[in-house]
Amino acid sequence: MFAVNFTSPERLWWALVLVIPLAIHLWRRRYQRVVAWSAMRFLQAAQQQVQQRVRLRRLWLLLLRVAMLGLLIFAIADPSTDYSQFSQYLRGSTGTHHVLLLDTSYSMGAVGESASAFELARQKAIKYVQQLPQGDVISIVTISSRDRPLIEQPVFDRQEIIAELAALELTNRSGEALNAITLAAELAERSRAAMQDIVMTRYAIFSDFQRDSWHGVTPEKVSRIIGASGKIEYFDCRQPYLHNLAVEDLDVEYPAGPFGNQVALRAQIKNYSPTKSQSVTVTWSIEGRVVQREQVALAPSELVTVRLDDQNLKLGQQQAKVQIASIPAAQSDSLLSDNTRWVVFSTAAKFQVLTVTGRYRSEELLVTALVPTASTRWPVQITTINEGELIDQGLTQYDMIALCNVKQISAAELDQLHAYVTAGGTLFLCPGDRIDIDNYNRSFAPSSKFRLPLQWQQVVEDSDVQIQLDKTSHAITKLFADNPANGIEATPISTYIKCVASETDSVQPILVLNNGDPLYLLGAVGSGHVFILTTSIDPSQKTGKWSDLGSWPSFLPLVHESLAHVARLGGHNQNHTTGSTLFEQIDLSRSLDDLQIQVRTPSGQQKPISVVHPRDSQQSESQPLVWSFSETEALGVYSIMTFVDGVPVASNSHAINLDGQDSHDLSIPAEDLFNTESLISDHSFTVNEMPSDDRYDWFAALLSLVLALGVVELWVYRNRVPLEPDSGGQR
Amino acid sequence: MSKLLKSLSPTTLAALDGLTLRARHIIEGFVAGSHRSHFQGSSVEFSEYREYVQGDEIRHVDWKVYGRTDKLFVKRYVDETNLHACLVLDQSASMSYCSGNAPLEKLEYAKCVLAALAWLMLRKGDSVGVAQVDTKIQQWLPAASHIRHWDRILEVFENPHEDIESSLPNRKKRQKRQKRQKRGGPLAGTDLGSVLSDVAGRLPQRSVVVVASDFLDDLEPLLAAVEQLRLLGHDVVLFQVLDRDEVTFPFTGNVKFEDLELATTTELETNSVRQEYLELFEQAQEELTSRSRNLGAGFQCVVSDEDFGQALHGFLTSYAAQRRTV
Repeated sequence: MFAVNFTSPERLWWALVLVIPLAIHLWRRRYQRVVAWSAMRFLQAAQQQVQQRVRLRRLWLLLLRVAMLGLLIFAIADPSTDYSQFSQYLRGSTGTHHVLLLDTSYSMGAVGESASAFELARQKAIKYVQQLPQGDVISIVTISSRDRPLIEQPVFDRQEIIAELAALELTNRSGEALNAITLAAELAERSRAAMQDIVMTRYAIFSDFQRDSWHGVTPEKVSRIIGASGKIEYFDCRQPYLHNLAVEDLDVEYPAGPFGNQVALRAQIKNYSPTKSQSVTVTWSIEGRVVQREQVALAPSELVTVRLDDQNLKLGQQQAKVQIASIPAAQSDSLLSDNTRWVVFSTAAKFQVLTVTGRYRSEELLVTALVPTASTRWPVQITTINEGELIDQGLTQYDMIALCNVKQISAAELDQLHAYVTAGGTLFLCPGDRIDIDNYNRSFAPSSKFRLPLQWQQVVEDSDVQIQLDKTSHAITKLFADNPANGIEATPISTYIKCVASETDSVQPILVLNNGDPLYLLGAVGSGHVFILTTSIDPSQKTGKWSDLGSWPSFLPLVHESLAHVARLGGHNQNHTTGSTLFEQIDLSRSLDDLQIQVRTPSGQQKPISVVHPRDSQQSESQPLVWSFSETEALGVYSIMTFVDGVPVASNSHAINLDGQDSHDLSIPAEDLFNTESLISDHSFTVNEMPSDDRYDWFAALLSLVLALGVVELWVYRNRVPLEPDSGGQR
Repeated sequence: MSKLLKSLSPTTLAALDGLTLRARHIIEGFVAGSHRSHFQGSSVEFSEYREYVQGDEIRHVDWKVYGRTDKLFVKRYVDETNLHACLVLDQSASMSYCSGNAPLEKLEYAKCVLAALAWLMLRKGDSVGVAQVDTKIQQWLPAASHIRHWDRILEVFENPHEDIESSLPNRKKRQKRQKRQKRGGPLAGTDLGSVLSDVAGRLPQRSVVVVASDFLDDLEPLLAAVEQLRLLGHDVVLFQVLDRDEVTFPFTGNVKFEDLELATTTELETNSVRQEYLELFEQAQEELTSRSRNLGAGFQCVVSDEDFGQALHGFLTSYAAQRRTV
């Protein structure tokens, strides 16, 4: 309860000097002076009278001198007493709320000499908890992309905390240290409000302080967040990234466009070691089957790109994995969690297109561009309906929906199309002489659900306009820019609908006329895209052709490249970072009562996903029904399987990879992150040094006591008959 | 020249001459006061001649001798009332103590005083005898009144008994003493009580017994002997010689005291006993003073660093004053 601690316990060895006064006491008793004396009778009589008093005085002097010296040695060892437990006992409550912040970002998996940084942090945290005084309460917050503490309600039970720490696992996320500190401070504030006995908060941070997790943290921010009632202590758990190899990126390319089954996988591998050259084995796997293994040499700090070209893929969704391993063994790689990446991509089985016509044959030229051949092997399948049938169509099965000279879009249709696009679909708007511009503005304008920052204005007739490629630099037109003889700029255009885009972030012009008006735009809505032509490609317009774009030779590659671009973008719908929420729109054409959806995690675990019937949900029936799954901590491929009456009817995959740049080993000195005035101590930490008022430093008091004893000693020693000049003794 | 003669240097002797004049009156007063009846109308027996010195009465000049020798001599008569003195010198070991500030040991000092007193008395024609004592009378010089007796007195003073080293000025002699103790040999201790009784037995007539000692031993035997002397009709004068250290006890720190007379040692922290020692010492002095006066004995205490001429004068003055009160 009153533990005494010494700042400099090694000074207690000076206690050996206590033998000095004892030795002096004994030595002084050795009478140095001998006097031949005559008046012995009186001397002996006097001695008899004072004998007892003299003995007692000698003993007092010895005790005083030993006490003075002992107290002085005690004082220079700088003792302090922590009576916080006593105070707590008096108060009958806890005094300190300890908030542990453990870094569980994936960089903590780096292994140095022995254990990983995370293990080191865990051990230090457990030791910290074990040394805490009884009565203190503890919470745990993890420094990873979480928005909730691990242990929010302060806990008294040390064993419970230690069990939680022992069970804690490393994540594959990067960290959000500022968020974690804010979370911890909010937690502490709530605890102080709820528990009146908490007088202060101590934050103990166990981290490797990687820049990716600690970016944005400054001493001023930290001081502002924790306020005056908290103290921060950090435990540096850095392990040196001796030599780290990582797969930095894995991407998919479609050399043959989205309609072919040619896929090229491109991986970037980096050797982060600044001094050591490495050789790695790169293993490519597709659908769980190793397809290629190669060895790659990397110089220090080199980034190498490796490719896998596979032309024998089956059609449909595929998953690929690239994994590296250092040669000869993993001792040369400090961090292993960044050695593997996955990607989910699609090779087109059938590219399903729904064309909605406003007039007979208004889709004709678009269909020709999409299906330029009569071959049955062509992967594009066209379904054409008239605009009155749109509302009855289930749209989820289509890869693209084209509205060709459709006059108006009803509200229900708009909801349907919006749901389709936001879920990842592609909408192709081909206007014509029939469209109701006001209706289109209401449907696609910024105030609409689509929220496209586009304003449809008037029909412009101008035969002098022409496409000017250098007005844009979109990826879709790159093929035209690379081919000067493409001829697209010679496309005859006489009439178009003038559209004005208020901002270019969500709507990008692909082709622009020489007068600056856009001819072809691409907008992003949710997970999907909207292509917007401003001129008509309807060959059956009664008012005459607006342009020859639909029949121009450049139109086919333009359409194909547009879809290839979307296909590339659409691949992102299947590839995410750890912690992301997976979701898909549910096809309402099926009965929900018979519908089961399951997720198979990378570890093989099957988890059902519950689907709420629209009539039971809070949302409007017009809202798309989406399932979601957020337990995506593990890296790898998650397979979403749809069952109807127990029969699998659909399967979709999503890849989860690491987020952040923790592989880079860019650690920030902890002193740069925290205000040094807030720091309690450096790496060495002693729990008993409680920086609260419940601690008493004995140095000054002991010195005062030594001085007081000195005065007493002097008085005792000098308390005798005043001396005559010493002339005693015979010559 | 011995220390004694040094002490009685021409300077000191000249001083004593002055003192002699004054002292002679005091002594004569003492003599007259105590034996007046013996001088009345009685013829006296011729004793001896001595040279005339200025101041002698003319009627005592023997003109016949002058006629024969052309020198002036006075007759000395045996006067039954002449002073007989016995000077008792304590030569015990304790008298050998001398502190750093004192010019003389107590013994030497006492010798000087007694020698001076003897000279005074012999000059006056008194007879003076000497006894050197410690535990017994070591040397006894019967009283005589001729002036050459003084030389013999000095000889006695300057040549103590060879068997006893009353002055132990250094450690080697102390160690010799301790060895002698182990062999069972005599120590230079003091037993004034029995010694004075012995002196009393040796005195043929009523005398003035002057005892020079430090009187640091037990007082009872001493005072008993003084009383015995007084009852026998003798006058007793106690002349105490002390050292400054014995009076003030100026020692500091831890000291090991070795008894000069006995083979005992005492180790003590002097600061702690000083006050008690001084109180006890003062009590003993008061007792000695008062009881000796009650017995009709004269008492004078001097410290060995005081001028002994003045000490002698003080002694004679106080003795005469004490005699008048008796």
